[in-house]
Amino acid sequence: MTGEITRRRFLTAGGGLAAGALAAPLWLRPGGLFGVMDAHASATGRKLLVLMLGGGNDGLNTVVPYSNPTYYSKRTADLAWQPSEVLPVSADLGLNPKLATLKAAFDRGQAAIILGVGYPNHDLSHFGSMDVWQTGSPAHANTSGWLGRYLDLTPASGSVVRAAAIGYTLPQALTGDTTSGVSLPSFGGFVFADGPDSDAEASRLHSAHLTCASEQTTDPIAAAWLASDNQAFAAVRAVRSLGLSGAPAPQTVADQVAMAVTLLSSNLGCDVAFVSMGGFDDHASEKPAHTTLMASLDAAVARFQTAVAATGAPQDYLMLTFSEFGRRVEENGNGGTDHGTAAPMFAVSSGVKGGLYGAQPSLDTLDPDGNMVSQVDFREVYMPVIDTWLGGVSSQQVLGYSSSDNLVAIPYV
Amino acid sequence: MSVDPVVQQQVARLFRRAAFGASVDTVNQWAAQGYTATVDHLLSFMPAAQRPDNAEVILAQQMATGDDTQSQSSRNLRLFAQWWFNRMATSLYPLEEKLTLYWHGHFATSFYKSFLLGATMGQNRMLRENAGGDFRALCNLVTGDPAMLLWLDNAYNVAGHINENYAREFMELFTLGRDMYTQDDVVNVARAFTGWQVSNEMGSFNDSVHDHGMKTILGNGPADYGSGDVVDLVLDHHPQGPVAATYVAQRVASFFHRPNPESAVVQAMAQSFMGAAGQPYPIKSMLRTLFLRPEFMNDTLTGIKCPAELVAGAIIALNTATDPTVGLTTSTSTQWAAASASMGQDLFAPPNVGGWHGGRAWANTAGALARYNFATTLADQVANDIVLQTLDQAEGVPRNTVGPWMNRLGLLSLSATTQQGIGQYLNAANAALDSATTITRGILAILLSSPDYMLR
Repeated sequence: MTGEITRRRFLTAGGGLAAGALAAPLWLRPGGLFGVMDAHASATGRKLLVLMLGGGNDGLNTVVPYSNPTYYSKRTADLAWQPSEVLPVSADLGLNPKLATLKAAFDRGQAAIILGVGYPNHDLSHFGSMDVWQTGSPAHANTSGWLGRYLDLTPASGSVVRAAAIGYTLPQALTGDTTSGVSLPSFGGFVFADGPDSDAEASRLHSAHLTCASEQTTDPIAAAWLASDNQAFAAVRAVRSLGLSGAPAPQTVADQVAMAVTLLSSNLGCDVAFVSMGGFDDHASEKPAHTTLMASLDAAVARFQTAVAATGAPQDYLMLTFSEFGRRVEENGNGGTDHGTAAPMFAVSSGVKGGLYGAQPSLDTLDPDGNMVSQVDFREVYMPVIDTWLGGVSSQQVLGYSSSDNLVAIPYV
Repeated sequence: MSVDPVVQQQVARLFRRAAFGASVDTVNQWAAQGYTATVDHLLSFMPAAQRPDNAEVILAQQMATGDDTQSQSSRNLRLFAQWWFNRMATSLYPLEEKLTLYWHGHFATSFYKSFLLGATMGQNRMLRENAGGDFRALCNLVTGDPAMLLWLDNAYNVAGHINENYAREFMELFTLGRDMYTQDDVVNVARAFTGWQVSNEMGSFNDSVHDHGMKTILGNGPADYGSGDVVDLVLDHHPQGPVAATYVAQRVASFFHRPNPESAVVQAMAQSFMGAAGQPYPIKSMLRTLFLRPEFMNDTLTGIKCPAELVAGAIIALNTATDPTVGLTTSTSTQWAAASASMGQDLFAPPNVGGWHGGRAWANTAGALARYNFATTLADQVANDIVLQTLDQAEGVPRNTVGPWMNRLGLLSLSATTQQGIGQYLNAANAALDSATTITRGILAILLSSPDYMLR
């Protein structure tokens, strides 16, 4: 590159740009469009953080059936946790030794453990089952996500960050038919590279870009692109109002959880946040890898508790974990486990009714593929999240179940 | 040169979807040759094995440093991804690179499990060498590929201790699709896939740990099937007919054409793809069928460029790629790889074995912001001589650089809103007395980030 001053260098050099020559755009004025006044909150004022355990979490090594001889006959000592190692939550079940924070929360009545969660005719495909859990439909009847439909059905003006996923992609769960969540990898990375709106040249480019993106189209993918492009600009401006662009990028799941709580507790009207962990697809040498993941999960629980305590209203924040399936009862011979079915979920909050819910599936009476039989339909866990925790719409509308599905909400909130 | 506007549109779309875009001048040159001639031009690449590359240079450097820690390997991986972007942008055979990108998503393998750079680079080379060849051979090569053997645990799948991981994904994601096999098939295919091992980043077959028992697979047998048999059974002997040809055609069309491609298109592709029992499944024939279908040539729907398409296309258009044969050093910039990652496509690190979801999934705020930031950053970085040359073409009038930039970016026209956006920018920039080069770069930033350029 030659020595000629480029546009960006020109700006950083200060070069006499007439920054004040333009009237401040609306979003920069005090009490402007975004960030403060009209931010919507859920009907109840409560907040939801979903933590996804991607890859199929081994429920039997998460909540260990330590009194069950079948667990020890089907898993070798290289994989199984011994009774002396687990953190008991009942005479038969104990938490993974790494889940000490979760155990303490359970003992205080601030964590619910819902056992045996799945759905009928469980799909052993990661993608088929993840679709079920994220859309909320075992029949694959929806293309939108269950939380996206919650957003669709509780429309709110004034907030562009009603739901946020921490990361570079937006999970299907937060993709509605008309409303979608915001994805952002970090606060520091969620800024305009050409400068904020207060920079004159950046402001001109931002305005021009939004004019380009104001195109109306009936093409569905183009429309989705244009919507996300516009939403990105609004979200960057809203998030900028938090003054956190100097915050370090999250390095761990716990960091991502803290970032999610920052958004949920901000004045942006954010009701729902989503954090993803990966690496649970443990087909070989499972124990060391899974143990590390359990430690990360426990650290995420601990950070969640610290972060929500700082809000002054921890009872309004719920962290709910899920995975697309559990794993086979029997070890596969590589010190790992293949794809299974039912697994436990955790609901952590000082606002939950702590305890054990659902039922631990039999390890002896299995389905034809050698997998456990689900005791709770996952929608029975989602139902109170909509009906009781967030409110404003019925779970029947969001999840689209019928009375013949015979679903009964699990009363953990 | 007068060009039929219909053919011009078709050729431009072909370059966007079958390559990484082309300038309007290039589009016009090929439109004059005709659409079919352009298709055959793009398909006329010889297998890459006859054109050695310098990827090994990077590996040699890594070995020389003796630093094989995970963090150094991860840094070297980004260098390799950067090398690939430069190759995409400078190859005489862009369709070969586009296909390699496609197969990387089809047989999606992440570096971040094995942390083995050599195996990762070897898989990339193998996919490129077979990108337009025989899908049957590709399935066999992928089955013995060390990066895949480690990624889906088939390196640990031995007689008496089967591991279902590769067997399930081979059928679900690579060849047949969901619901086209039973759990019993998964178990028996896993048994047939036993015996593969990895040592020194090489795959090998050890018959002594292969399960030689009788297996029933997709209603065939019982027989003592092995991995090559599984590939043949899946491709030739599915009880429901040409399931694999249809499934693969559907996935290929979803990438090159549109999500949920028309059934007639998929069927026609499957017909030209399907080999007789034991015969090749020619990938190029399937693609040629797709490219010559009127539904493809005159597609009425748009799509969102995937991040790698966007990045490679932009650096081609602006001549900012570096020569991939020069080799890399540890100080080489990895900005193309990093930009694509920030848009959601981290090469050699797909989100999972399903690859990048594509289509509408690219529409999210993190990706949209990353694309805007890529555009404005690149517009700043474009070499000054290109900016001055563009200004010269516009006789020194910044406003008139819109046309030359459109030519470079392969934009045949602009939407009304994008024209408005540019007009709005010019009025404000002129009022602020910005320099001609500042405005010229500003116009480029607007075009690079416009919906017209993001969509394909």
